[in-house]
Amino acid sequence: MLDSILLALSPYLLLVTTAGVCLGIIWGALPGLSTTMAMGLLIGLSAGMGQNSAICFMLGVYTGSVFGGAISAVLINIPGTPDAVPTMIEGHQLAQRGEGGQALGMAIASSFIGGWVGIILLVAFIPLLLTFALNFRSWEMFLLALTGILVAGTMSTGEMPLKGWISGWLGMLVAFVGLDAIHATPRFTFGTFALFDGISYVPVLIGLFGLAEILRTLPSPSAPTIPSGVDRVVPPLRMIMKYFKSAVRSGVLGTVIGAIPGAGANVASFLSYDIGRRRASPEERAKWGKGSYEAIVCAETANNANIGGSMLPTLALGIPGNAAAAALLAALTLKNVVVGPTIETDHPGLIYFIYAALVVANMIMYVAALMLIRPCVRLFSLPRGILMPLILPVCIIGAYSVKLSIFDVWIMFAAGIFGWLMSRFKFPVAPMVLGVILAPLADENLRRSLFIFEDKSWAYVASQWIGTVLIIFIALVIIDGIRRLFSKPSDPSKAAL
Amino acid sequence: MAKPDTPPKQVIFEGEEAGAGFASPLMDFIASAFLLLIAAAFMAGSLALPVPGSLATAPGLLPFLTAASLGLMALALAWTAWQRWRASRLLATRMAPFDWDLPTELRTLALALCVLIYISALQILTFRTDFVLGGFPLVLSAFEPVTIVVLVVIMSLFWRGPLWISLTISIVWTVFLSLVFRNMFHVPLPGS
Repeated sequence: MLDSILLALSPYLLLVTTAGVCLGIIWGALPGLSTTMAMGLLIGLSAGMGQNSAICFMLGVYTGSVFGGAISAVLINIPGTPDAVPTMIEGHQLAQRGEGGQALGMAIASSFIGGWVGIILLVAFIPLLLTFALNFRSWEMFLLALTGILVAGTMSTGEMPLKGWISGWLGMLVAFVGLDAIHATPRFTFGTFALFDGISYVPVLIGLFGLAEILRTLPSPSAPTIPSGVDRVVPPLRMIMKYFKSAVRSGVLGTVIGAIPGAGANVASFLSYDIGRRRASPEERAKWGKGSYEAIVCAETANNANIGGSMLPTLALGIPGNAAAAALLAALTLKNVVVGPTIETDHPGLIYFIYAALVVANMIMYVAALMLIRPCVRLFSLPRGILMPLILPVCIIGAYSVKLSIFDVWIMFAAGIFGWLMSRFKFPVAPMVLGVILAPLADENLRRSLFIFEDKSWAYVASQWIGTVLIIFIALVIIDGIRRLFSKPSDPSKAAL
Repeated sequence: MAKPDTPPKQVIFEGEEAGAGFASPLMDFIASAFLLLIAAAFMAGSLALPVPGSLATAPGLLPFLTAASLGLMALALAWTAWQRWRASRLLATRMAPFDWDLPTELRTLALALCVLIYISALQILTFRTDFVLGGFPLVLSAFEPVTIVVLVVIMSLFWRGPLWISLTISIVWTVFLSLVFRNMFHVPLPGS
């Protein structure tokens, strides 16, 4: 572990991590540019780096961009990332009272604490999960992949999980294109040689989160945002200590949510905000919604702790915790790193290096955030008509750099158009990415397990207790989704939509 | 100070992705029809695939199951759309069949066309010139001029500022990307 920390602290990797964190903070701070978009687009840049540099860079971007959303949320009342909505509600009220700097200071300190809670829990629980994951065979891996897609679908659309599942299923169909992994039979290739290799999920991810976002936000009319001034940013230690208990509770909650495949920083941030309000003292609860520091602590700690949590299923099972972790998985795959239960034997020491890179990124995030708030305020005055087109060549390069193929750029374009259409028809796109990533895993493992079960009885299948638990869980998720489908929308106006 | 009678703002969680959820019934009908077509196509395609071993290891097994369940989900979506359409008729509520804004959609179409032309140009116009400037090896390919032109066009479409600013920003950004990807990380760029 010490070797890994020393390696992560080497000047070059420190520079790469700093670059990643700074890019992430600026990216996250800009309204409309999400963490997943940052991660997806910067895969292209990481493709030209070595394995360690790519890990440091991507984790830096991840850490920085999750915090970055808080800057615009507090200062201009627009959340840079969706998980910063609770911070926006509270922080902007504080900014209007001239306490914007202190609100941001609390957000930075909370993000830092959240990052640490996530890392500590990751380090503590990954050996247990890895040991447990070794019991997962083909049948369990198939069911786990299916669980990931279903849960992602449920989490992405609050009132209509059906649309989330459809999105995930469409992703699975996309992933079936190409030669199948067992018999090498061409599937849905229509004789096109370029499709024999399958559709790479990196261009799909860039198209869905990069190009689709440009198509969605650039043409929509928007008023220029005027940043409010920012005063002293460093929060007093007394205030941090006052809310330390809330921070730790929210951090644990954020990590646990992050570990659930499909549940990301948004769920963590909103749930922690809600639980924080219920647990707050009556005096503090009265401030909730009118500018509460404790509320900022709850939301920001949870969404940053979510990073460590999302690493748990990603590294131990190869099932991404959320769409941003899926992008990290893609970057690792480009470096020939296959994550999963055998990560410690396949890549000895790598897991310790990932811990070390997360620790270093979290430390740098604290310093970089304090230094980048004022430059970010200047960036907010840039018109969207200038800013968004600049992302377009990054999408093109990102899609091209994976296989140096212009065909992948066309895939990115098609995914972008499809992603835009999905958003217009109010379908979520994150489950589709999870579907594209997890479908090959599901396909290969289902067929292997059915081959094993071919001459076995149903009782034998049911005796695979992990699989049976997963089947019950899947059934519960589906029943809950169907129940929501038959129930009336909570907002009466939606009934007539 | 905040006014004492200011009601607290409500934070509503709409799902991990904001904006996803209920669309107008007509849009959901269109979506379900499209999904049924896709499901049918994939089911037919799966059945047409060869079965080299047993049925349990057939290459078309999971694609068929996925497409069939997608078809069922599409039917469920159509059913919910019909329920909401019926509810709106009973409530005599006026429904907007599409919650789309035509000028915005036309601007989106123009942007999508720009991207289409951009990628086509990078595919068709391929050239590469290596040269040395001040002892520093540099590359000029189709990526640089094409990107500059496309960025200027898009900025002119969506920003009413002076052309020279758009041009300067486009040149600086393209050169920056070219230097970072080509020279720093040795990632080849399209169009070369």
